[in-house]
Amino acid sequence: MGRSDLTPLTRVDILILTASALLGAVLALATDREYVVTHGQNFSAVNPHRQLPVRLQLHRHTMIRVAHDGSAALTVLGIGLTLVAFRPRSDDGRPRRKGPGDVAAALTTALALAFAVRWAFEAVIRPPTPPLAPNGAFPLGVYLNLYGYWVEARPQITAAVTGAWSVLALLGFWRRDAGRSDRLGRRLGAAWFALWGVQGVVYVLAWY
Amino acid sequence: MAVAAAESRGTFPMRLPRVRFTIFDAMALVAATAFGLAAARGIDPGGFWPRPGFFLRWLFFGPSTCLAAAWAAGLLLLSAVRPPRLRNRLLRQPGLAACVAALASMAFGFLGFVGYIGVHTEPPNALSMQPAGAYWFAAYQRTSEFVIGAWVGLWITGRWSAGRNWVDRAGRAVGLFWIVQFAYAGVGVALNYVLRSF
Repeated sequence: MGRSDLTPLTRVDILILTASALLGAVLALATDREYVVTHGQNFSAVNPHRQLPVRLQLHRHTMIRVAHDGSAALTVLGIGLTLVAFRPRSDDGRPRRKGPGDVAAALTTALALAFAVRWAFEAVIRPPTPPLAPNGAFPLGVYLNLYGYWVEARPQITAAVTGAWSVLALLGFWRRDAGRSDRLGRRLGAAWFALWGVQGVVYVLAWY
Repeated sequence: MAVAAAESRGTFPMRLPRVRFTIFDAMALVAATAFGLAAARGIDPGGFWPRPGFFLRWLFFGPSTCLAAAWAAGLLLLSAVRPPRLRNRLLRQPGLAACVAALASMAFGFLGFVGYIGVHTEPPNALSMQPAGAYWFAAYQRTSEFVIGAWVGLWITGRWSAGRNWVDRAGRAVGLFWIVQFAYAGVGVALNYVLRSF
C-alpha cells in the first residue's frame, strides 16, 4: 500500500499530536532535571558506580537520561496517538480496521495509566515516616518521583508491546498500513524497542 | 482454496469436529502438573509452602507460576497433536494465544537474563553465580505484560474469537492467572499493606 493510500490525518489529529509532542517534551525535560538534581548531587559521594572510570560513569548517566527522558516523551506521544486512532470520526460511519501500530499506542496508554493508578495509590497511603522492611527498603517498592515512574513503567510498556506484536506476527494477524496513525504507532513501538536497547547498553557499561 | 483464504483472515466458516477431552489429554495435564510441581520444588524449595502472612504473595508468585507455565506448555503440546485444521483454529483463539505469549515471554526473559549475566560489568566482590530462583524470576517477570499485550492486540485488531472448547477455556484460565498476578503486583501489595496497618 502506497503512502497516498493511507487514511490521512485530519487537522484535529495533527493538533492532538502536536500538543502531545509538546507535553512530552516538557515531561522529558522535567524528568531530566529531576534526575540531574537528585543523582548529580550524589555523583561522586555515594554513587556506587564511583569505582568505575569517569568516562564509563558519564556514558552510563547519559544512557540512563536518554532512556528515561525518551520514555516520558514516548508515553505522552502514545496517549496522543491513542486519541487520534480511537476518537470517533464523523466523516464515514465505518470504523477503520486497527493495526499493530494502534495496538502499540493503546498499550502505551493503558499500561502508563495502570501504573499511574498504582503510583497515586501508594502516594496516598504512604505514611510520612514509612516503616522499613528488614532489608531497609520501603515495603511497597515504588519510588514516588518521575525517575522512579519510568524505571518501572518503561519495561512494562515495552514488554506489553513485544507480547502483542509477537502474537500478532506468530499467529499471522499482522496487517500493516491501516492508516497514518497505525504507521506512527509502529514507529512508537520501534522507539520503545530502541529504548530497550539503550537500557541494554547501560547494563553492558556498568551494573545497574 | 476458499477455506484456506478464510483461515488466513482468521475466520473459520467451516464446522470443525468437537475438541473432546480424552484420557490422553487428562494424562498429559497430570504430567504437566507433576512437572510444574517438581520444577517449583527444585527452583525454590523454601518457598514451596506459604509462610504465615504471605499467602497471597505465595499464591501469585510461588509454585503457581511454575504450574501456569507447565500448563501453558502442556496445552500447546495437546493442540499440536490435533489435526492441522483444528490445530490452526485453536492456535488463533485467545486461550492458546495467551499460552504462546506466556512461553515467549519466558524465553525472552530467560535469554535476556543469561545475556545480562554474560555481558554486564560486576561491582567489586559481587557474586556472579545466581540461584535458580533468580533465573526463574527473570523468566516470568514480564509474562503478565506479554499476556495483556497479546489479548489487547487480538481485541483491538478484531481477532478475538473465543472458542467453545476446553482447550481455549483452559488457556484463557492460564492467561487470567497472569493478569490477576499483574493486578496483585500493582495494587494488591499496597492494599495488603493498608489492611495490615489497621
